[in-house]
Amino acid sequence: MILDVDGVAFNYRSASVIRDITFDLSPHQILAILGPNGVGKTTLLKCMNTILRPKAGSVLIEGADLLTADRMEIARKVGYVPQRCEAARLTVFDAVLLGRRPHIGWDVTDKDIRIVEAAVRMLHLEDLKLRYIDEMSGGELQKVSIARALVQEPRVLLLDEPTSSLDLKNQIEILGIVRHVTTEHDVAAVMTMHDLNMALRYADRFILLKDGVIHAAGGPDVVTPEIIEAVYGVPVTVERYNGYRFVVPLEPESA
Amino acid sequence: MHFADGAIPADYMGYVRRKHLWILGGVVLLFLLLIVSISVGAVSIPPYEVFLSIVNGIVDRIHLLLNPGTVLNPSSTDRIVWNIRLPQALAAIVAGVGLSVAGVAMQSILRNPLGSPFTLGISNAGAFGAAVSVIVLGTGQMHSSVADAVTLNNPYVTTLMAFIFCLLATAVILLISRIRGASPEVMVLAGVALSSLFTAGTMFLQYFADDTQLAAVVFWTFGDVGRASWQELGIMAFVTAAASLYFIANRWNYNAIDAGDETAKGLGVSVEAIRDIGMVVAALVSAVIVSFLGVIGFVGLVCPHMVRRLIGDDQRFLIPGSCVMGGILLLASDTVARVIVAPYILPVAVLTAFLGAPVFIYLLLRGYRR
Repeated sequence: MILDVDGVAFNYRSASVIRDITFDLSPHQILAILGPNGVGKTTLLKCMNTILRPKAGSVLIEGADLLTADRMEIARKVGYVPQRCEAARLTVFDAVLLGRRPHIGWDVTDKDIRIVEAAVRMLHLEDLKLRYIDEMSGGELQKVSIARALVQEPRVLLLDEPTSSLDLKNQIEILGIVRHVTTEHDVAAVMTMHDLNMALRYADRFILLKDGVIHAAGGPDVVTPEIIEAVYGVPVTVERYNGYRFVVPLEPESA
Repeated sequence: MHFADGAIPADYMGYVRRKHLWILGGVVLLFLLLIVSISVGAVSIPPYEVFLSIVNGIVDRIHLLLNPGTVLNPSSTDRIVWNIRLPQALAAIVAGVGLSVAGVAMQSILRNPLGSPFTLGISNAGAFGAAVSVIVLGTGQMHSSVADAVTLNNPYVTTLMAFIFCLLATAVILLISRIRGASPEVMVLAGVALSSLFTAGTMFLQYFADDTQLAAVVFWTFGDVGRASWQELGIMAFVTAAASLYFIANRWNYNAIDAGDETAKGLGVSVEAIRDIGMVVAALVSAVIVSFLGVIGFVGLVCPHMVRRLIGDDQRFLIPGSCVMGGILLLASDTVARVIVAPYILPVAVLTAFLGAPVFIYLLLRGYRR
């Protein structure tokens, strides 16, 4: 196991957000966290690199407890791609180089530069290397954000709705990159998602949250019409095409 | 995960070199400006002689240090350079560097382009402290020479009071941010509130002051780099250098914070601690400068933005660039202030905005340099 989450709970003051979250993940796997708005998907993701400190439970990466580690140590193990990233007047290369922060002493080394160059090529950003990120589109910015998390050389990649503001081509490209990175390297990825069909296409494992607890977890076969209706309150049918499952919402009247 | 080693990209390395050249160019410009600034004034001294006098003066002082008891025999040029113009020019550079670096740090810490030593009420707190000292403690006095119409008969008490109130303002903001969790909005708003509070306090005191006291307070408020003695200059230079080094050492953390708090935390930066410590350091350097020299506006706000327009937001270049720009702007302003209505010498605070605002508006209109 690369990631072991056991009994994680979080609450803002007295209002419980998530509780009893337990799952594990192997290298090369992609986990999709699904559920309606406000159910605690992002909170769970943030608990997994202690941007929010869980009030109970433990998060282990390769057996090492994150809750007792310091931030820099965590940043060398977990890469986090937030939903939105502020675009300062920084070049693409420098924005990605920032991902080396957990490894940088006083200044960057040739090694850091080489790693960033490799990541920039991997995400096909080489032609944009010296462009300022405040002049870039949402899709390009998202790629920069992912490249930044990759050069942290993490074991676990956390992505908060990586495709939420992207067009179809960019969605497929970004998720393809996540797929490629997890298959080619000893890395696991956890993403929160709204698009069930994209999740079914790219993820191996699924967690469906309802009222702050895990309602269902497992492989693609947990995504059934009954569970989707229970979690989202929307009647659906699950169709198959080319081996992939597709969730098709039904009109409420026809249900 | 592991990356197969990529190559060192020549285009990027060239880009970094160009940024460094900009900063180096600024340093050269600052040095030339220093010579020019010292050479102009009531007695003009050719730049070459200024240069010689500075070099000889340094050699003589080292000699004096190694052989105590030697009697120096400075020429009248040396006296003008070393006793009057050099300390003033250096004070301008040090204050410019300090206010500018405090400004650039606060803009990043507060995630607010209006961040500067003023935003947090530090300057106004200092002015209030000076007013308390002059009016309540009676440390102000007027005398009648033309060049220096007002003196503070106990300048150390005034400086100390200004400093205490600067720190008080900082402490209040830190306390509020402790309660509310170091959020930038809270810091900015608390600073604005404190700033108004201290301004009102100063006005209240001034209303009940007599003419002499009023003149002394107003005089103090006009920031003037001609006030500093060599010792005070030494203190300011030490604090400014230490603060600048601290900010430069944290350049990657500020870059990370500029990318958003969550990104920064994900990159291992302890955002709240960096905010709190950065605030204290920026406040301290501003407090020292304001206490010794009075209120000098605009430099802290505008220099970082000028540099942003010239070389971008990357803190690796922005912080040192702002230091250099601050020195240049304040020294240039002071030089102009000394000669523009000669034989009168204006306080530099009047000139910083006169000189800086048009340049800044030009840069805003022109947008970023490609």
